[in-house]
Amino acid sequence: MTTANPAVSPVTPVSRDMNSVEDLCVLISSKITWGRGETPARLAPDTPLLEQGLLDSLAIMEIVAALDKEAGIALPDTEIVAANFRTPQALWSAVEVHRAAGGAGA
Amino acid sequence: MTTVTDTPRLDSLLARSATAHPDRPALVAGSESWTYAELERAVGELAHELAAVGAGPGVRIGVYAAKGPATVIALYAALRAGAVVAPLDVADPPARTARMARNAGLSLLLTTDRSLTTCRRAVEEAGESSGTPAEGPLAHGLNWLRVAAPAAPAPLPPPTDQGGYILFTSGSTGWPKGVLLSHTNVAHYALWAAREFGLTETDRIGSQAALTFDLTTFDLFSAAAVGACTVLMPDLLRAFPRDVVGWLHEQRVTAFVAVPSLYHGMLQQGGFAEAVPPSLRVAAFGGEPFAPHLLERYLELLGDVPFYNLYGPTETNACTYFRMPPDWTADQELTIGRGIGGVDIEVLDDEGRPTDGEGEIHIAGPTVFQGYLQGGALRDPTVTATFRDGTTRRAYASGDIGRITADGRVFLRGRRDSQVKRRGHRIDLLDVESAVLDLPQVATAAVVAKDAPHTGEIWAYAQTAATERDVLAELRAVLPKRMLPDRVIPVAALPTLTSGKVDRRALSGDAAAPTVTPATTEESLI
Repeated sequence: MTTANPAVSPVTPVSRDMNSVEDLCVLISSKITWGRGETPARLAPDTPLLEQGLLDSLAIMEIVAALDKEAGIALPDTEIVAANFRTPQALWSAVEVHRAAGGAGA
Repeated sequence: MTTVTDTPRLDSLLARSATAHPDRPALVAGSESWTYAELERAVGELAHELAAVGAGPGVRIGVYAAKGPATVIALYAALRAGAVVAPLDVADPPARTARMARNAGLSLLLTTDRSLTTCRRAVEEAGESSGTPAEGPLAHGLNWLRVAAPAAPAPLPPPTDQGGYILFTSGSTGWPKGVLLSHTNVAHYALWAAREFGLTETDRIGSQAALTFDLTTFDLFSAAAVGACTVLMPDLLRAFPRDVVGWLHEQRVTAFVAVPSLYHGMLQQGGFAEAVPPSLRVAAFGGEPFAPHLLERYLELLGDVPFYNLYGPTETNACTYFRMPPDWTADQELTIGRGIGGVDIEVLDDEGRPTDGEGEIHIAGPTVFQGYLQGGALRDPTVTATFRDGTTRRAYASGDIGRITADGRVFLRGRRDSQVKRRGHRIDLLDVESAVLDLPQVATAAVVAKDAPHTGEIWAYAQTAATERDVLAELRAVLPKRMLPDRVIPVAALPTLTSGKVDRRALSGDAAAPTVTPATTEESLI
């Protein structure tokens, strides 16, 4: 009954390569509002995103929406949990499991 | 009915339960659990340590720490020492924390080892001297830091000379305003809620929000009033509605108060409908409007579990309540209900007379705060108003517009000033605006709440050569995330009215408008 993200309409998809955890780090980094003194480049696969307070609920929504729109990865609501957002690596594992299960998009 | 005179101190609620229910769990956080006897002992010992570093009546203390057992112990210990205590949010930029400390006249901050570095930054910015501030360790991984204030603030009048509680609200001057509450102000609401919700020592209260949020006075003090257990939710779960639902199950939560945003998320993304926590016995919401169709769905799902609508600005705690009828439907108007026990509500027109039509909601009674702390001094903004029963009362003019029915039910209509609610947080647009205006690269700016299709969003229109991204990055250093504008639109000039004032209505309605050009647009917008 719920869609992954009703806020995002399926406009022309921008395709984004999502072949490695590094690609995912770039995507996550682009959704964080970096402040002064914070360097986006420092995001590593094991960066503790939640502990460092880098992700709020809006950033999480945007990451989920971007994965869907730009990389065709539609994570179900059941995967939008803290365990999958602790680090980029954790989210990458969830993406890989989701892909292996055949859940590419629609 | 408890009367005002015998309302106990907040820390006495804890002491009483430690006597009545020493072995009942008082506090659970992850794998940690504290009984009432253990919590009371820890609070007593820390209060002694605090007294040794100067805490006592007349002293104002900030607790700058993520939510956890040590934070709760620190809050109680400061109260026990007779101090006024202010929970502070570690997610706020240190510059803002420093302003809050100065504004409220905090002379001592308590923090955990984890937040010590950022706390030092805040203390250095808040203080007068540039040297390393005096600090030292305390029990439970806590530390104290002294704010080197230019001068001791004026002493607080009774009853807060014997301690109290400070919560901050967004203020129109660009300075967060410290809302000074007495022990009685908070305890009256906590005791009322415990009675109304029928809480007992077997209840487990799920505490999900930050302790800087007024709704959490229920989580701590209503629990202590009856010897119930407060279960602290890990902060990391807050952004994940599905995890919150799982946590409600795992922790067998029986009583839960949260903002509608969280309830919305639990239903839409969290799987609440498929897994209604069987332990849940009573629930409440407050702080912003509930989407009517989702509220109707919750009432279906909750069945005979009481579901309450609570209303009240931070200045008065929750001061009205309405127990939702189980058969309420989305096409019905939603009331915020009647005043809680001992609280009187009145709606006054522009001339200050009670009206049956729309007017400003005024609140009187034991939950009404003492005043705002600004520049360390207390300013009482309450008014003297004569209610329709002929009684003249000290009342807080809420700024909320509404009407009251003959049987005392209140219906909300909106705000009379620049405040908006976004995701449960009260935000003063002028507070955000002044942060934007403070940026060196911004010439002028207006911050507005958007109309459809961007309802609920806050946009900043700024006359600047900088990019949206740069302005947002700068704002992040001075504003908490909850107050950041959703968009920053660089413009050549702001549209104005013939009066010369910025045409905020035009900006609110102007759907996309990446550029608002001067002169010609200005004329056409009038």
